Amino acid sequence: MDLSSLVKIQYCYDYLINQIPVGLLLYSHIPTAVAALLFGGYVLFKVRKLTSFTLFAVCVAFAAWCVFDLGSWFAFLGSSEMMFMWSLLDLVALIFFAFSYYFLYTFVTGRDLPIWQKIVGVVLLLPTAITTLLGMNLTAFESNICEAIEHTQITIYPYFVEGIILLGALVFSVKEYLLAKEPKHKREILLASAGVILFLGFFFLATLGVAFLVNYDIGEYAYNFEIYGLFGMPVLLIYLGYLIVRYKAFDLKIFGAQALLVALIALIGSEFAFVNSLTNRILVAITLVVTGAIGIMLIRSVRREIEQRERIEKLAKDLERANARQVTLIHFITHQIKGFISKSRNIFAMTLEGDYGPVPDTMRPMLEEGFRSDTQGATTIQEILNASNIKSGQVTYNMQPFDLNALIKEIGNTLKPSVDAKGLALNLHIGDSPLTFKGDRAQLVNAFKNLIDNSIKYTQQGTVDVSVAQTDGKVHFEIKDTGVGITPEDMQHLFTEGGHGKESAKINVESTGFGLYIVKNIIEAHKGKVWAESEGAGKGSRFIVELPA
Amino acid sequence: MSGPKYFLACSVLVIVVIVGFRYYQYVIERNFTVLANISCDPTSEVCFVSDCSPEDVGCDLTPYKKVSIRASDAPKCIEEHNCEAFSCDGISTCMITYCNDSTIEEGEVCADAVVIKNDSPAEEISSLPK
Repeated sequence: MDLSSLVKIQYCYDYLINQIPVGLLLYSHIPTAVAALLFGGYVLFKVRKLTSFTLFAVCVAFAAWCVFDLGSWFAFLGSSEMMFMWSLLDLVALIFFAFSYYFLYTFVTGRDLPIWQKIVGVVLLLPTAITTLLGMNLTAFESNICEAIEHTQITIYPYFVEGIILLGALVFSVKEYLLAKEPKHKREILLASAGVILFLGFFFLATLGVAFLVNYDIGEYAYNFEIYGLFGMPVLLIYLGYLIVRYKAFDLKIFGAQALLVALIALIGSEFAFVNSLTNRILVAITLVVTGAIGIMLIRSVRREIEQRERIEKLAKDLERANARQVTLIHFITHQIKGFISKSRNIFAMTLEGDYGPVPDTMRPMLEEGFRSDTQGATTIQEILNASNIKSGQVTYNMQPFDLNALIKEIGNTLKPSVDAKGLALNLHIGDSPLTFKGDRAQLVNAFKNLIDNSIKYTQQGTVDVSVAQTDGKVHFEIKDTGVGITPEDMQHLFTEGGHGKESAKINVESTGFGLYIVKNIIEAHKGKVWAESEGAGKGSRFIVELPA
Repeated sequence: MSGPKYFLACSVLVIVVIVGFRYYQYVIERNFTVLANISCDPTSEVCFVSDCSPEDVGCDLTPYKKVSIRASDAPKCIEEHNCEAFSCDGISTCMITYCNDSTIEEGEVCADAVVIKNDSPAEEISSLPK
């Protein structure tokens, strides 16, 4: 950037360029000020809340400070302009310190600052406001070094106030963080506080350090270090940007896309400062227009996507609530129906056993069918209830040691009538000595019975072989049948909730599809695994369970 | 929101008044003091000179005297440090300081070769009324 046309005092221009690169001054002040203004303006434009106003005030005051500070470096623009801008620096710094605290308070609590804190703030700022108004903070323009001479006692006071505000922000943040209950709110407090405290801390330490160096005449160009204080603002903007994107602070929805567009336009636009030829300027202008147009399309597209996502999220929540209500209703209905069926089953059982007198032979088949049907109905409902309980996490497992071999034998005996009825052979390959296993016996009975019963149901002829053995620190249970087998397509649906296979549904029409789902959940609750193997339809199947011994 | 609005509005008003008044005093009226070192003739005046060795980098042994003047009264050459023969004559806000024990500061000494050609005392020749 060519500043020579603006030079009013050549001596000060020469002095400055020996002191610090002018480019460094410009690039440390202007982009920071512009970024702060854009950010604060954007938030205020989108959301008209007190928090946005206070943030905007911070950004404007900070941007003003950047401009005034730059003016205080640029004495070559004229001593009066430089004195004017330098004289306002302390007051403007205190203003953005005060508004930073104000912003933090409103952001964290959602309320306006209490009146007593406003009074304290005004009282603290009043001495600097008065001395600035009266021009007491600067004593003269020292043209030999192109700097203003500050009144030491008056200009030291703002550092005390800045320190008090910084300390106040720190105490407030710690208190609010400790009092916050929700983890999300805690994280929001942490991020906002860290941003504000780092912003103020950077500035405070840099300017205090410079004041110390100047006061004790250490270092020739002490004011050069002042530019490091400006790094706090980008830090604050990053923290606030993260809050907006991650936690939807200020309810801004497409901040990311808009920030990207603004950054792109700022970057491309800044090229105007470097290019000199007309061709290059036209090219930059075209790039700027094209980028702007594509950016607007991108923002519209992102906005549409966000709206759709919000609609879907709302629908998903509604669906989840409706589902939960439906599950509760089904649970209630099945429970009630199970009660009615159980009563009916008991009546059939008592009638068949002759509790109400002798049963005529002509009536017996009908009563037996009723008893069988009610038993099946109760079993089916119980299976659905079990699956529902497992899914909702309502099942608790009572882990106790028991003999697994005895358990399998017991199941074999229970299922023997149905094996005999189908003319199958059920072979149990179980050792004579007890196999002690720690688990929930009742649940494992349910699981193993389900597996063996399944094999019996899907085997029309042949054998069902059950084996239990302990090898390599694992209990190995296997059931092998000569049944209908499992097609690769059906294999994918095994162990899933309501996962009927196409072929299996033809053979076992009463299947709920929850049996293997329950088995899988029970086995996994015992830190084991279950899987099936089959060479295909008509080639039998194997179900294997492995449990840690 | 009306409470905070009034507070913010009052704050803005106060700031505008302060900024406006400072602008008026410094930029319009140019009502501030300018300090400058201007060329000094060691043969007729008691000049300041930097306390450094000619071998030191940046050591300038040009004799100088100190001038303090209200900005609105200062000629442009003061800030540019190129006044050939500046005098405070007729400028009530102007004051020139020559070297003596009470005016000398760290890093400077009084020039050795002082030859008083006339009766002018080597001291302040004008005070700065404010």
